[in-house]
Amino acid sequence: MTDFESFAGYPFTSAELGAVCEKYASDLVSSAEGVSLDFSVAAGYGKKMLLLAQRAGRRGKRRVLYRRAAVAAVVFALFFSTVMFTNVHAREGIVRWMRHILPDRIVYMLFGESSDEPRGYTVGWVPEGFVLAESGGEDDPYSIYRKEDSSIIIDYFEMGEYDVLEFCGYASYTFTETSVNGMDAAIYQDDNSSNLDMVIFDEENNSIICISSDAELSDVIKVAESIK
Amino acid sequence: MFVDLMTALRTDEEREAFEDFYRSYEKLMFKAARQILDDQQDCEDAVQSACAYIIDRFEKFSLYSPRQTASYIVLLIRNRSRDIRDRRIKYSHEDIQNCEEMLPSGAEEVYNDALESAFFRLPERYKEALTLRYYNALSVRETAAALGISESAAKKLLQRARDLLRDSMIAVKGGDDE
Repeated sequence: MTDFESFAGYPFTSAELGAVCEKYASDLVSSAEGVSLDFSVAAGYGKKMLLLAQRAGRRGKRRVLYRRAAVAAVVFALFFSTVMFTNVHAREGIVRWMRHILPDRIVYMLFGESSDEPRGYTVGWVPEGFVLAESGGEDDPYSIYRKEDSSIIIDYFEMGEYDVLEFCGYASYTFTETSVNGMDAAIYQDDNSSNLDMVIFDEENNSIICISSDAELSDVIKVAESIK
Repeated sequence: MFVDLMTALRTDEEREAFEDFYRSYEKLMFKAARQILDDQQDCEDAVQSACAYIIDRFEKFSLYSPRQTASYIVLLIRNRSRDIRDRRIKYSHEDIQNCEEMLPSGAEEVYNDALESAFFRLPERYKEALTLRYYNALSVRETAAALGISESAAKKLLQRARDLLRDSMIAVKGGDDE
């Protein structure tokens, strides 16, 4: 024990105080030992104590099990989050799996914020009447085509570290897996409106192309096919 | 402490060791409880409560000398017994006074020095806290657990006890000087 007491300005040290306490403790024990009991202490009570001890043993084992389970859960969570963070295919796998177990919900796949914007994509065709209304620069490549109240928004994302899984509770949307120019793609169509989203996975260039529009599906597919 | 709890009496050897321990101190525990409690069932409850505390820290008890162990146990039992007594409404103020008279007051002792004199004039609660801390070498947290109070309450209790000791010693010294 540190000699905090003398440091703190007390006129005694912890050792001196301990010695006095020892005398008090000795008095306490002597005083207790001097008490005469008017009942038997051993009758059956030993068994109670043994039960108590056994319960403590079981409690100890349970706690060991809980601790192991907690450690396993933490290790699994770390492993799972690492895989999810670093591996886009694992994330895709999870999304596909979730589609199977949540058939009435649609899970958006891999919308995210890119850290290194894909560059060099060009749109070769847009439906008649649509004109380029807005486009991002080198750092943020996107393009928006408009025709009156309709629009076609084309955005590009890096398939990588900032992907976000987004759960959308739109039972009214229909999900279709398809392919565009040999690339995997997905179409999300709102049954209650003309809104649709198309996601194209350009694994060769490690990019995701997203098209959001209220134009006809056939036109959107043509736009997607024209992107080079 | 968490580790102690998990490892408490996990093996047959530990359970046997506890049983031996219990047999060694059984009478002392009941006698300490009987100092404060009238009812046999209450004494058993106090002993059982103290034993549950001891089981959870049983490994640590092997570090104490028999005298330290005995005093630790008596202090534990006294606190458990007081808790039980305080819960019993049936005890009148007079009964409590009578019970307190059974406790060692040290009033008739001959004190060796000012510290001892000041210490034995402290209220029981303060003496017990100081004894657990400075004789049984418990940490503040362990002292709090033994007394059945929060850690901050134990800190305050110990602080007040030390301050009272200091003030009392200064007063005694001042009186002697006059």
